[in-house]
Amino acid sequence: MRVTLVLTHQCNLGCSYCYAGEKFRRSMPLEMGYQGLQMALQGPGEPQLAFFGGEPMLEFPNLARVVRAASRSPKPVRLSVTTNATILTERHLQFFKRYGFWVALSVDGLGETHDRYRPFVDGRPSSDVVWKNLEKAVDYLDEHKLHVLMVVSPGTVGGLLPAVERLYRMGYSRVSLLPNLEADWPAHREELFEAYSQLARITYLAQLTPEPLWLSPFMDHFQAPHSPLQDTVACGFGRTSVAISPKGNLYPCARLVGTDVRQEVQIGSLTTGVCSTRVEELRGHAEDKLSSCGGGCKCIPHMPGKVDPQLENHRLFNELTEEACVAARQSCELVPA
Amino acid sequence: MSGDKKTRRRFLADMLFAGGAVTAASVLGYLATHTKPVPEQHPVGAMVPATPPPTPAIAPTPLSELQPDGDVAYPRPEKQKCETRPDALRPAGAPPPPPPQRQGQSARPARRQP
Repeated sequence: MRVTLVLTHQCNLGCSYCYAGEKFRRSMPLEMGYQGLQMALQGPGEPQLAFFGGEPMLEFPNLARVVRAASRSPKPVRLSVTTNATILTERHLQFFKRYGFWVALSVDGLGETHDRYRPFVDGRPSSDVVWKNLEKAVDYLDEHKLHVLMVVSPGTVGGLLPAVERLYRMGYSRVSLLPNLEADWPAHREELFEAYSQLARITYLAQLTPEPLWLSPFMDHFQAPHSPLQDTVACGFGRTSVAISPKGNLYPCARLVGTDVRQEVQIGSLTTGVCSTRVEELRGHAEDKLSSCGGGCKCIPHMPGKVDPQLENHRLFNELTEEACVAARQSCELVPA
Repeated sequence: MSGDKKTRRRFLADMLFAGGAVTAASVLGYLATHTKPVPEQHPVGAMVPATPPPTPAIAPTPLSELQPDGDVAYPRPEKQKCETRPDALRPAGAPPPPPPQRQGQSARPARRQP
């Protein structure tokens, strides 16, 4: 069972597109963290514990306590954290290394491109800190356990290529591009296609080298049965994965926690347990909605705000990715002798 | 990240992020050229296996010298033997390769009689 602990609603960044909504001081009591660990251990499949926020590193002391408890459990627990990479000291990295963490780090681009969307809450730029920490992280941790998450917005599309190149040069192998689905994408289709075509081509070619680049979503189209990204894309959505809010409410995914007020996407609480009927209702609704746009993340039809434009954007990204991958494959394919 | 890995990444990034002219063939060719051991020199008179003329070498600068799309197919690095007759792969205009030599025969071409 994969259990995601949303340790806090607080964050030190003020990302313009953040789906978690308004930030406020509410942190998960330690006891709930331990309960989450028990859920992970007692549920189906491999026990997995993921730390999320807000910014989970703001609650590092509690994170560390739960991890130490997990390390004493009878079964090995797979540990992961998603962080904005602004709070990563050597002590933190040593801790992650010691406990075999999978670490996902968020960055949107180089310099100003990143800062446009991911400044600190007081408006200061964060890119310098983030890139320095990315450098440190890849020195400390096994590259296969590092995963970079890049939110793609119209203002970052032009900067994707140099950012991915820098990450590759630094030693990162796993990068996922996550579209900001609330943006006005039809107006930027051409620019997006250009960037995605180049990145699809690089992904394809990199697979031929001793240092592949696992760049999602393109890897899914290049038939890589042993892609290390597959572990992370498998989605249990309420059945084999749940997220726990700082108040103890349960959601099928951490993306849906937001400010923890939308009862329509809750699937229970630590007190009541998971309501499987509710889980199947939410899954059914998501599958219906996604069937017309090529499948994808089940959270999309349940996100706050206007869902239809987000689904349209999701369809556009699926189509465009497919086109870019077909074009990349055709242009790169070996010419028969 | 080790020094070796850094160097390898730098080398590959120069090639992968070079732009539109890079193809799978040129990547494989480039890797093959830079990972293959130096071929053995056959002593005069020894049996020389029938091999096609070597694929034109790619210069070590990845950005400027990578072949554009579709011109040349480079051998895959794992392929060692060529199953095609050498002449079939000869570039247009190139002189024919010397015939396979037998043991004891001189590697030098016979002097033309007046």
